[in-house]
Amino acid sequence: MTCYLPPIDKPDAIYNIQILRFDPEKDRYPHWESYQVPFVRTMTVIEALEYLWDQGEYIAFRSNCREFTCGSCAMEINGKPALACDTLLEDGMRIEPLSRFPVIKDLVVDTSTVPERFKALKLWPECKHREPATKDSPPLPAAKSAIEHYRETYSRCIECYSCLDACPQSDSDESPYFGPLYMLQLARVMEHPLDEKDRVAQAAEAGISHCINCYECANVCPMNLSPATIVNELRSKTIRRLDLLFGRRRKEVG
Amino acid sequence: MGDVTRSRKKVTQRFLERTFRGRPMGIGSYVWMFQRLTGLVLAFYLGLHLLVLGSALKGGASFNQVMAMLETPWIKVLETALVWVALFHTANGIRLVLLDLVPSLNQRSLAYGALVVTIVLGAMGTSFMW
Repeated sequence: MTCYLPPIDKPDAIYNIQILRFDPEKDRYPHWESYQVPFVRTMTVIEALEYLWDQGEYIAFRSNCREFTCGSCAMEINGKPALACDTLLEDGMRIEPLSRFPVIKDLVVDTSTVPERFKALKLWPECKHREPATKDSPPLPAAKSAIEHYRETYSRCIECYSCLDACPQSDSDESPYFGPLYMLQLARVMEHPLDEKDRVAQAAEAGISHCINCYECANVCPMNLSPATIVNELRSKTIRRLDLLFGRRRKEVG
Repeated sequence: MGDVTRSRKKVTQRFLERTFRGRPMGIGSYVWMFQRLTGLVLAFYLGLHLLVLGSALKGGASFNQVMAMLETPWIKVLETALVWVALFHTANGIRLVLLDLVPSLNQRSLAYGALVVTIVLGAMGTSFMW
C-alpha cells in the first residue's frame, strides 16, 4: 500500500466518519467504528481511507486506479453504492462494504462468483459454421448501430458491481434474477456480428422478467450508463418469443 | 474465506433508511413501492367488494341496510381514497407497459406523467363524487 496523499498541515475541518469493520479472525459480526479525519479541499473517501492507513488503522479496502477507471473501490457510502475515488468526503459519512456479496474483511467483499457466472453464460461470441480468419478474409460486417452501442455503452462498463448491489430484485446469487450487469453483458455479446447463440433465451433463463423498472441501477452507475434501459430492450425481445413463455426460467444457464 | 456472510438488507429497510437519511432513492423506486402498496389495497378491496355484494344480495331488507351503510361519510371517504389508489395503479401500469414496448422512453418523465394523470383524474373524480 502506497500513499499518494501529501501531509495534511492545515485541515479545513475535522470530520467524523463511520466505517463498518469486520475481522474474520476476531469478530463474529461486523460492527461500526468511528474515525476522525482532517478534511482538506477535494479530499475523496479513498484518500480518507489511505490517511487512516497511514495513522495505523489498517482498514482493508480495494483500490487501484483512483480515477474511476478500474471499478475496484465500489462500496456503500451512506447506503448508496458508489466508487470511493469518485465521492467527496462529507461529515458523518457511513461507509460499508457492498451488501450483496459476502464480506472477506472490512470493506473487501468476495466477488468471485461474478466471473464464474460470466463463464457459465458463455459471454464470448459463439459461432459454429465459420472458417478461421486469414490475412485475406474481409473485415467483419458490423452494423453501425452496434459499433455505436459498443463505444457508447458496453465498453464503458467498468464492472464495479454497483448496479448489482443497488438492484432490489437481485438480492444474492441464489435469487432468480441475475442482475443488471449480466443483462448488459448479454446485450453486448448479442450485438456482436459473430455471435450465433440464443442470447434472448439465456436472458429469459437468467430471470429478466423479475426486473421491476425501478431504475436504481441507472441512478447509481458511476459511468452514467443505464442498464435498466438495456434490460427493457432485452425484455421486449424476450416477450415477443412465444417459446420462452413457460418453463424456461429455472433451468441451468449455459 | 468469504463464508461469513452479512445478512443483506431487505428492500424495504434500505428504502426507509435511504429515504429518511436524506439521500432518497429515485422516483422509479417510489412509484414501484406505491404500485405494490396500491396493488395490495386493490386485492384487499376485491375481497371486501365480493363480501359486501354477497351480503347485499340476500334480500330486500339487507339490500336497503347495506345501501344505507354505504351512504355514510366515512365509507364515502374510503371510496374516494379507493378511486385515487386505482387511478395511480392504472396510470403507473400503463407506464410500465409503455416502457416494455418502447424501452428508450424516459422513465422519469413517464413517472411524473403518471403522477400528473393521477392527480388530475383524481381531482375530477373527487369533485364528481362529493
